[in-house]
Amino acid sequence: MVKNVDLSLDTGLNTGSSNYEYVGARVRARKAKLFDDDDYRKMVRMSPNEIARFMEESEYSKEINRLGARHEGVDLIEYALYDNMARHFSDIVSWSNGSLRKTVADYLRKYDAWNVKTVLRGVFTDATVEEIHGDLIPAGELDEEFLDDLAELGSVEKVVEGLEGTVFGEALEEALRDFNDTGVLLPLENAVDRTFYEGLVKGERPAPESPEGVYTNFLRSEIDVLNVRNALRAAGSEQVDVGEYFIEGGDLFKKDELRRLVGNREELVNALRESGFGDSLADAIDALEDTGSLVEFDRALDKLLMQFAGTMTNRHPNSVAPVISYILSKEREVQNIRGIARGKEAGLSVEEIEEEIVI
Amino acid sequence: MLRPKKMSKVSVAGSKGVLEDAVEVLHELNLVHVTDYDGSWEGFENGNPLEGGEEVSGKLVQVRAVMNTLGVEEDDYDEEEGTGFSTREELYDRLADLRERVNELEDDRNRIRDGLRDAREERRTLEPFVRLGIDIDLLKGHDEIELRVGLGDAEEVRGALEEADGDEYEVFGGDGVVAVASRDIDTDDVLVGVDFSEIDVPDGEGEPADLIDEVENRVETLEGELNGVESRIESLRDEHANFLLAAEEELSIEAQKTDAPLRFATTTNSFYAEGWMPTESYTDMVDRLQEAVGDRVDVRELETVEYNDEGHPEEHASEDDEDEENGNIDDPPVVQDNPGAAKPFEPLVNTINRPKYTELDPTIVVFLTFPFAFGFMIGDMGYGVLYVLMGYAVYKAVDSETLKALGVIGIWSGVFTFIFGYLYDDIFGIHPRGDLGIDFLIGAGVLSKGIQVEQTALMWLVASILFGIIHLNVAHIFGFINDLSHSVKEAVVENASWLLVLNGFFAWVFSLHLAESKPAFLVGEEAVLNENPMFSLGFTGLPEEVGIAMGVVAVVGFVMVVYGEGAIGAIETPTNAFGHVLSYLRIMAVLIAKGGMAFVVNVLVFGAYETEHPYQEGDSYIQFALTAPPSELVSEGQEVAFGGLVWMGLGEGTGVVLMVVGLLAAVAVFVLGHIIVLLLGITAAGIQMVRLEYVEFFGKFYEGGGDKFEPFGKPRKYTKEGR
Amino acid sequence: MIEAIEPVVTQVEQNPEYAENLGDGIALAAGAIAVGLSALGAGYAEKGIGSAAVGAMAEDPSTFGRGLLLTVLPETLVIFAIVVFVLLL
Repeated sequence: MVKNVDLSLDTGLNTGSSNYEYVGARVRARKAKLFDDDDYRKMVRMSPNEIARFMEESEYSKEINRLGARHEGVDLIEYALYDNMARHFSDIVSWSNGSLRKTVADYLRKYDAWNVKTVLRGVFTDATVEEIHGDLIPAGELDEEFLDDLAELGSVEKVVEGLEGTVFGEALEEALRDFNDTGVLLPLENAVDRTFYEGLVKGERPAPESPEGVYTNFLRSEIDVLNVRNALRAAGSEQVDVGEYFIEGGDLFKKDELRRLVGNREELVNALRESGFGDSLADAIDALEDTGSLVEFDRALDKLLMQFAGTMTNRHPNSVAPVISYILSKEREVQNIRGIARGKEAGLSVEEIEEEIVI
Repeated sequence: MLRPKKMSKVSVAGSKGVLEDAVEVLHELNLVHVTDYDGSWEGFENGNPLEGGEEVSGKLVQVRAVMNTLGVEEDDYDEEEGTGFSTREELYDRLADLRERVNELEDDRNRIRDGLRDAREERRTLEPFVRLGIDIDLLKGHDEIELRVGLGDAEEVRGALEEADGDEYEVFGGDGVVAVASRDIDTDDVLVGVDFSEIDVPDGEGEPADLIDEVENRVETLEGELNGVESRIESLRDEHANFLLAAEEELSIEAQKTDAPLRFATTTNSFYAEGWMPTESYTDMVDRLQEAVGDRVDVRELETVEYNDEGHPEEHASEDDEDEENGNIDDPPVVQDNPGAAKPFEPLVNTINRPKYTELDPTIVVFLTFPFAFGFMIGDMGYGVLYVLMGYAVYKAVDSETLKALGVIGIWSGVFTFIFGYLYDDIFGIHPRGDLGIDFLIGAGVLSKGIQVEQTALMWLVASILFGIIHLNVAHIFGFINDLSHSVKEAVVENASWLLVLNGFFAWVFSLHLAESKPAFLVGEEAVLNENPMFSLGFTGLPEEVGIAMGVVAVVGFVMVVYGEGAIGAIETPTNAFGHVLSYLRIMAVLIAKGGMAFVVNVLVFGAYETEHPYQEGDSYIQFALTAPPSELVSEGQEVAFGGLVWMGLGEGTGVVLMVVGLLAAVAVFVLGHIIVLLLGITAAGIQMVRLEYVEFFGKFYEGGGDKFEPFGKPRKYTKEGR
Repeated sequence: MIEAIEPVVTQVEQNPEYAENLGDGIALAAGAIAVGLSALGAGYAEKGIGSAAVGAMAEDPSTFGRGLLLTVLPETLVIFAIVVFVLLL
């Protein structure tokens, strides 16, 4: 299988001590080069071709120049965005030594988890291969072709079968029975998340100030966010016991607590307001109560994680924090530009597009 | 000189109807650094790109992509040929055609490369089987017999199987490749820990040697094809380089123009643009804009910014601290204004950061100190000439302005190295006057590096400290002037206070107060400033009263520092006022280290002998043997330090072989040795002096963070206006 | 241990010149150790800064100056040690 980003540890320097200083300095320099307010203000007013040219004059020049003679407009932008992201993420892995390399590689599998879930959900809801493809984030190890092939298989069982041999294979196979029993996707999605997160945070808690501790603390926040997302989606649903699919390791809610709250959305929202996330999410929670729309709330959660990563970088410069902060911001940038390009193509107004952007 | 060019903030406004014309003229003028409108005014939106921008940008992306594939560079432009298009349509047509051809070629190239990679991989997997020499089809498809092939040691494998249960096996091969045929033996188990790593048997049948021949042929054909494609790409590049470079220029200029309104504030019917320009060119701009668009646009000089940042109070009032830290959004961009000789030193300053508009530009001080100190440290006529040549070569060979500047810095440093070399009487570490009696112009050899003369070395130690004190005084004075624009109080407690501490303390050090407990070379009759082997200055120390008074001054300064900067100031005092001055001792250290290295090279080459020390009674002095073997020159009772490779070669009765070897060794050591000293000189003297400028000097006052002046526009190189 | 230094002690007691030389020698050794250790410290400090500086430079060559500046800061430690050494002489 061709790998999108090579996350294997058997090439390069995976021995020796972690080179936090070097990698940290490089990712911070790259983070500083991400687009800022001024750039977005220009891009939202540009046509897709102009955006492509604007990208050519920035960090994306390599990809646009490689693809620019064959593609144009939104296609060119999307291909360049993803190729660029994969290149940047591969760079980070290749710079890293020692345990840092393992940490980064493990973390990037997050995108594999996302993509596998996307394919499963797409197949489950009978989405077209193109639709599924459009939601993939090829920044992990599984490359687009493999994922497209999976999407073409047409049934959830076949997709699970197709994933045999990947890190998710075993857990998915186990969850397949639950899926068949309940008829909802949650058990499978949960199996993917569980494989990703519980593998990462299991065992003794490392000292919170150590590089490992900083990393696990961040993962715990991610787990919290994931649990909150799942709970909000499932709140009030009768089909499935959400508590069953709670992911262990978070700090915000305990399993029983969430199981109790999930029955009533109002209570859940109130509990969220009281929780450690309450202050940072106050506006988003208000909006959620007013409109009931999850889209905006999801965006607020993304932003929250980016903020966590940013604070973490300032407090623990010699850890994996700068890397995670960069990865999140880069992913966000790619999503932003994609949103702008697609919005432009769909003829949305400047204001509508600006609302989609998260910085 | 110490200040950047004075800048004015200007505005250009008009109705949307003249927007395009105004952009056109501004771009052509290439004078105004347009600032981006940040969307903060009620009723004003950022503008949208001009019409046609989408098409131009799309084509521009294609042009750049094609250039990238073909590898077109600026050098490929041929003045004698035209650009190959005269209208936009021609440009687009030719581009479409070229793009198609390039894509085809690239497809071909990718296909061939893939094929080549596969073929090479196949060859690699087949190679062991050629060594094994067994037909591929014989190694596959057996039901009862297990067949495994691997890289390893046949004997070892045989031995392991010997010991295993069951004896139905056979081992083939040797030469590092082993095939094992066995029945009813758990070979997994047996082969653990044996030198055997299994390889897969490739597809195909027949003799491996035949197969590999076929693959070789394929590789050769593909390599030929690849060369063909590469050369077609190359000829496409030669053919279209002019066109592509010109098209890129034409379209990127057009794209800059269509993009411009994105930076302007606009309403439904009008636009408003702001920017910076040197005050001196303002009237020129107004005239030219008038000429082109008449009264239809309104141009104004909003303000001329004074160098102290009190100049624009209304902005300052609204500016919170955060803005200030984020690089002074409202400060004008900086155009440094240094005399021609000092210009090349601007990049050296800008490497740290471009000066802010409101602070002094220290370039001139770097120009006055860097080459001087470099020359002082290396001080050798031979090296000086070589540095000048190296600097000139760099200047000639490179295109980048920054690297050119580096070349000029090299030349300046070389000149000073030569001058000090003359004063030290040093040429490649040899003293033409002292060693050979070549007495040229006056002044030669008035100084000495003090490699063997303690008093001289101590003199340079004191000189380094004095240089440091002067350098740091300049730094604090710069800081004082910079802070003066904020407030007088700040300037006094944060800068003048340090001047008092620094000068007060060192005046006390060089005073006779407590003279007996100070090192003798500092003050008193034996002070090097009183008398040293090179010159006598007659300075034995400041009077005791002056010393005490200056000590009090230092204490007053210290109190001011603590008042101004708090406890941090107290903690910093020993480092800032004492440590940073001692840091300049590296100047003397490099001087002696480099001199010492050159000395050693010459001792090896020419040999040396001991003589009486000219200054230090009872010590011996090492003298090069330049005119005759050291054994002949040495006087009774003294020793030869080293025979010298030259004299070993030329010695009587050495024979031709030894003579040649000796002389070759002498030349090799001389050349290599001095090259090493020459290059280490750059890293030692260059880097150490850069450090003193950056850390000790800049650290006292320099903030930096000015924006680069980037006027809107782009000078044309290949194309003409008006298509 | 005591026996091992006994001849030295005897020499010191009987021969004042020997004692003086020995003192000078020990002072020199102390200075040398001081310089060596401080160089080691500076080197260790520069390791981290240096690799961060190289990282930043790889991304943006214009950070060269600032990288150099920060990298060489700890090296002043060695200069201080040399000063101590000179004073010991």
